[in-house]
Amino acid sequence: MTEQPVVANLQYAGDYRDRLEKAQKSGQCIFCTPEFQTDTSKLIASYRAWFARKNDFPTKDADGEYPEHHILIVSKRHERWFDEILEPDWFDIMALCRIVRNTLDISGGGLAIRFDEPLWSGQTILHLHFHLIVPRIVPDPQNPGKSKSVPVYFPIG
Amino acid sequence: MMQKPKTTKKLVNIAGAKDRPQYLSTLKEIARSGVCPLCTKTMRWHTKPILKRYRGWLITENMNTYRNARHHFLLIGDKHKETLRELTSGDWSAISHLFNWAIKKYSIKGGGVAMRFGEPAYTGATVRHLHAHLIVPEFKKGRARPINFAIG
Repeated sequence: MTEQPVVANLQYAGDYRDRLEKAQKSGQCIFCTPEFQTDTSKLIASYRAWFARKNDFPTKDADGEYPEHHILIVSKRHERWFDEILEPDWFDIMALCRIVRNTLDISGGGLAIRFDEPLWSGQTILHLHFHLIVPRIVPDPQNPGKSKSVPVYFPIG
Repeated sequence: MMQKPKTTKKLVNIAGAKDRPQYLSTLKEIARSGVCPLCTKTMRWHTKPILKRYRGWLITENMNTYRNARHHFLLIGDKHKETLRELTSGDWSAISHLFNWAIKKYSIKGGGVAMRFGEPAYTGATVRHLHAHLIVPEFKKGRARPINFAIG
């Protein structure tokens, strides 16, 4: 009997545990499926070896709401390790960041990746992907008429 | 009508350090000086050693290591750049080289890489000069102790 490839880390699974369990059982990486890579209702842009897509399960912000945007920038190839991101990949990732910023009119946010061993990083889907997160802007109760961003705490580990 | 967060050209964002009194005091001093604390010629507030330089970038330890971090490195470019679009493929090549150098040098098994970009009022960044964080959690009793990287 051949061992199933490890494609998901169930330890940190939140809202999408059932999807991770199914992926782990089948050995089919969620990010590698054609449905995931080409779903036009979620896809924002595709550029050479990477694509940008809305996250199905955005990280909630400090107020328990979803952020303004939570985009995944995902490698089209199934790659797992940080040192597999080569110079052309960085170029593609940055090109996608620019496209996403222009498409969604983003003024600022954060770009983050969890890498390598999931026990250390907290990564749940073991396929290289970046998170581009844009916080919500809300009225600031302490400064009437002004606004503030609501932080999103991106967990590492 | 709600105003959008104020955008400024200030080199540091004091509001981003309001929960860290010591860092706040340093940032106020930097703001008064009117210089960028991460540009090579004016990097005088950063007293941690430079661990390695490579093609216009350096890696060093963060002065304000986040709670639960075993390692917290900053990657900083020599040139003052503030937006992602200013980074060239040469910059990314250097950044990637330094990340991979640190991962090998410190036998890092896993962690996170993160950077804030754009208006600090939206991102919570304290310094406008683009920089990337390489963060490795503390690991105890078979589990990593999570670090929350704030965006916003």
